[in-house]
Amino acid sequence: MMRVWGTAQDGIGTNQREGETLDERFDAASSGDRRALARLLSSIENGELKVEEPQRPASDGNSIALTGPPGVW
Amino acid sequence: MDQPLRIVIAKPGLDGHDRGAKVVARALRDAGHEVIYTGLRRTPEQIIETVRDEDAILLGLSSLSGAHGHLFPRICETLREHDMGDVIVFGGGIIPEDDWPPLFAAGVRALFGPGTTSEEMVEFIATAVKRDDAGVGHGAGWHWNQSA
Repeated sequence: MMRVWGTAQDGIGTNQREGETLDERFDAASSGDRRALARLLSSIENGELKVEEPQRPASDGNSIALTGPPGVW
Repeated sequence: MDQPLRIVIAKPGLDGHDRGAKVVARALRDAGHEVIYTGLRRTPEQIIETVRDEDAILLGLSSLSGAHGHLFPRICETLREHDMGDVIVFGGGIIPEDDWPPLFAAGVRALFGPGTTSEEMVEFIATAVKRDDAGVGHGAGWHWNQSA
């Protein structure tokens, strides 16, 4: 797994929490906080967080794709 | 515009009329914002999940069915229960002025009826996001003074 912190750019305005570091956001998302995961995805969209290679779990895990309309199962 | 914002436009309840919501969504998109429209007949829980998953900063609610007095406060309360008090909520549709005070008290920051210009909505959004007390978590307090 590789995380590379890039320079924050002028991206979309969302609910990024003041004072929250990217590491804190990542840890919160990893622990199951879905809102933190949403903030993390916004960070990637905005170029604040650059993922240079796919993150792979230590064990053989399934690949997960994010798709579809929001709020609908 | 300082920065494009992510905005969810939602149709809560059984109201099946969404031309106005679509007009608002397009107007805000044309103003440079990123807008997600939920589609018709969403429950408060579905709407809140959309706001959460999309990392939206604003939520616009549309109602023409007369259920705004129940649905809007419930959505505001559910946002607070989910620790999403920083989301800014505004509404629109057919909402009699007599119904405005309890909706503002619930945390809705603006109510736009027929005749509202897109410029006014854009101005409200630009104003609200600069305030520290516009999130629904602040409950009753500041709200937009409608010109329409």
